[in-house]
Parts: sequence; C-alpha cells; structure tokens
Amino acid sequence: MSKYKTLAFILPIIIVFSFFFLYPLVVLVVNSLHNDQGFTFVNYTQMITNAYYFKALLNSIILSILVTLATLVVSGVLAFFLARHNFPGKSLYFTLLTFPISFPGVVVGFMIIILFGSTGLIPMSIQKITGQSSMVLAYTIFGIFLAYLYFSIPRTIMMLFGAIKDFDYTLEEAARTIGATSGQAIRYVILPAVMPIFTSAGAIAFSTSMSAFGTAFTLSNQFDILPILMYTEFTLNFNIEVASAIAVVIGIIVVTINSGYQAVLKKGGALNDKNL
Amino acid sequence: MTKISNILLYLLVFFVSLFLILPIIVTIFGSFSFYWGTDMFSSGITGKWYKEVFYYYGDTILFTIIISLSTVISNIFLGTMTAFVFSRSNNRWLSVLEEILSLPMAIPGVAIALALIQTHSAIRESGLLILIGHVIFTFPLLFRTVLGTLRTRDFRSLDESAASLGAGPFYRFFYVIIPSIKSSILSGAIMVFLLSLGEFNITFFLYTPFTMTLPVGLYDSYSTLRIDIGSAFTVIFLILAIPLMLILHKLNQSSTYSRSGGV
Repeated sequence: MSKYKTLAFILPIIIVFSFFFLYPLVVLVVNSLHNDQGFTFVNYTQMITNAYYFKALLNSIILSILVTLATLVVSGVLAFFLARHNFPGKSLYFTLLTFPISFPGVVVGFMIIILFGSTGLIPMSIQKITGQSSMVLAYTIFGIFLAYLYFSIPRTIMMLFGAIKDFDYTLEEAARTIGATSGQAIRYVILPAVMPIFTSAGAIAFSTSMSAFGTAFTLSNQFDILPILMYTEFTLNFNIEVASAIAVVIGIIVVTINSGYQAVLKKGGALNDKNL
Repeated sequence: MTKISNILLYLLVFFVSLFLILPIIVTIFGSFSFYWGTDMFSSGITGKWYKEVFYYYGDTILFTIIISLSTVISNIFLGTMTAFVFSRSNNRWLSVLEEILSLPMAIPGVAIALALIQTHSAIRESGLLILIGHVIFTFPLLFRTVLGTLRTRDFRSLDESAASLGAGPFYRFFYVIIPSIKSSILSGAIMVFLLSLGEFNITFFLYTPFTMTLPVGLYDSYSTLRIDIGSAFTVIFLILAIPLMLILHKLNQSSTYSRSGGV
C-alpha cells in the first residue's frame, strides 16, 4: 500500500485527535502551570502543602486502595466459586452478576440510594422491624465505598473468571496427591498462576476508582475526593488553573498505574496472555 | 474448619449477589408503585412515573439516541479505516500513534472534559462538542476490537491474495476486509453505543439545558430526590442497555467492555 493511500486512511483520525484530544490536553497542562502572576508550579505544590487539597488527594488514594483490596478479595472468591461449581441457571446468574458493567456511574449511585438511601430498602426495613429510624449510609463516605465496590466487583469478576476457569486443575490435584493441604495448594500452586490477572484487575480497579466522578457525585457533591474537588474548583470557584492541575494529577496517577502494571507483567513474561 | 469456611463462602457469595442484583429488581418493581415507602404497592400500581419521564425527559432520550448513533457511525468509519492501516504495517511511527489512539481509555473522562471545554467552548451550544467528546472517548473500543481481529493471520493472507489478483486498496477494504470482519465491527459498535449511552463524566461538563443526555437527565431526576421518577427513568435506561449487554455476552465481548472505565 502506497504512502499516500495509507495517509488517506488515517488522516481523518489524525485530524480529529490532534484538534480535539491532543491540543486540548496540551492547553490543559499549560493552563495548570499558570496563575495570575504567570508561569508557576504552585497549583501542583499546593496539592501537598495546602491541607484542603492534600486531604482530597489522600482521601482519593486511600479510598481507591481500600476499594481495590476489597474488590480483589470478594471478586476472587466469587470467580473461584463460579469456576468450580456447576448448577442449573449458572449462566443466567453470571449474566445478572455482570449486568452492572453497563451502568454509568450515576446509575451505580442510584443503586446505592435504592439500598441505603433515606427511602432505601435497608433503612426502611430496619425502621419497620425495630420501629426506630436507622442511620442512612448512602450519602456518607461509606456509601461511596459501597458504590465503588458496586461497579468494581462485576468488572473484576468478569476479568478473573476468564482466567480462573482456564486454569489447569490437574496441577492442583497433583499438589494435593503429594500431600499439600487445600490451603497450601491455593497458596503455592494456584495463586502464582493467577497472580498476573489479579495484578491487572487490581490496577484497573484502582484507576477506575481514582477517576470515578458520576458515582460519587450522585451520592453527594461535597466529598473531598479529587474528581469532585476538580468540579468544585471549576464550576463554583471559577478556578480553571487549579481545576486543570487536579485533572492532570488524576491523569498522571491513572496513566502511571496503567503503564506501571503492564511493565511489571512484561518483565515477568506474563503479558502474552490475551486476557491481561 | 472446612465446614465453617464453606458456610462463610456461601454467605459471602449470597450477600454479594444480593448487593448487586437486589437494587436492580427493587428499581424495576418500585417504578410501577404508586407510593414509594415502607408499604410498597399499598396504593396500587401505576404507569404515571413513566408518563412523567417522557413528559420531562422525552427530548433528552431522543437527543441521546441521536448522539449515540452518530458516535457509532463516526467510529465505525474512523475505527475500521484506521485499524485496516495498522494491521498492515509495523512502522515505528504507527506504533506510537497506536498508543496515542488508545489513550482516551486511560485518561479520566473529567480530564478530557476539562480540556475540551477550555479549548472548544465555541461549539458547545450546538451539542457538537458532546458528539466529538463521545467519538474520542469511545474510539479505542472499536478500533482495538477490529484491529485485534485483523491482526490474525487469515485476514492478512486473504488481503494479500486479493491484492495479488489486482484489487486496489479501496476495493479490498470495502469488498474483502469489511465483509470478513463484520462481527467484530458489530461488537465494537455495540460497545461504543453502550459507552456513549451511559457517558456522564465528559457530558456533564459540556451539556447545555438544550443538549442534555440521558445520564445527565438521570442525575437531574435523582438530585431532585424524586425516587419514583428516578427509578422509572433508570428502567428506561436498562431497557436500552440490557439487550445490548446480552448481545455482547453472546459475542463473548463483555470482558473487553468491562475494561472501559467511565463511572
């Protein structure tokens, strides 16, 4: 294929990406390096030095780490359960479990309101049984945690299940025959084999939580986490430079995690698996 | 020991399943209840909330479907053409370009939105900026799905034999390549439609009262704390999304889709 014909095929996307993706991102970074006095790094340094911004940064990171750990444990258990048990309706059950993958963040937030909101299922049931009004979890930081689990668990089950069901169980049986307990077989035979997929699922869960906006925003627009802080700075304080710096910080954390885990897996020679 | 851990296992599986599935069921049933409270259905069944959704958000739903379909059509053209070129060459520049074209999947939607609104607010009023944002954000899904299929060797030899018979690149693209990758274009198109249909993080920064999309409308109905209208509107979203999700399951592509963030 000649050079010109190649160019004719890819020119449209190059134009669209240059004008509406790369150029805007460059402007975003340039603006984040400005304030009233001109060029400055202060929008970035204050993320650490200013307690208000630092708290949001810390909250976002801690929340994402906790969500990732809880998701990996819960989804790991469910994926193993699904891989090892056959029962009627299993395929329907799996489909139902993974429906929430198609939900936008706002719908995920609403699902938490349905369960834990002020007119939600659980507070109302408790009120009906005990006669006292119960605590409403949905609009607290614990509500956000649950909401993030709601979108991470189905995605992670999907990713882990694909790898776990293809695992060669004769290896585990061999370990059991030579005297390994079921715990030892999991610890020394299965875990090393599924480690790469757990790493990549964890990295994806972390970066999704880190950049999630709609989910948290539906529950409350006042949480001190980075994406909501970015919205507040932009819409309410008209502070475009600071908002841009926050957006760049979220972007850098997410892109670093994503390329970082791929580099780690590549080094371990595990990246040939198409599931990763 | 094993007995207790088995019971714990089943309890965990049970509660996680309940956590994921129960709110969907409650939303569907609740959307038909006249009164939302401790005694659901005590005042009977109604379709009133659906009528109100169409009254308040009918235009929003229509606009969303137009945006999502336009996004799909744009990306079928852009994604397939680009993937065709990438599957044929191993140029160093092209592999750099491939990384760039995959970036919208990695960069948070809020950052893309903030970048777009600072540079192209002039075209915000028309809703065109929403369409462009959606095209950029969903491009990698179709592009990578089609490219993945094209990179398998069969297509290459198919393409080469057509070339050796004298077919030019444009003829080969439309009469040889396209028909043989129909199913991966289909799954890519469904993923793009689903992602565009549910896109909130970018759209929320770009919409005007006349260019509201479905997820923004959902947020609007939730934030006015009308749980009844909110649940009816959510069910309408589910009716649009769930059949597509089922097709993705059938095509074995739902795990690819699960990698796209955007919540």
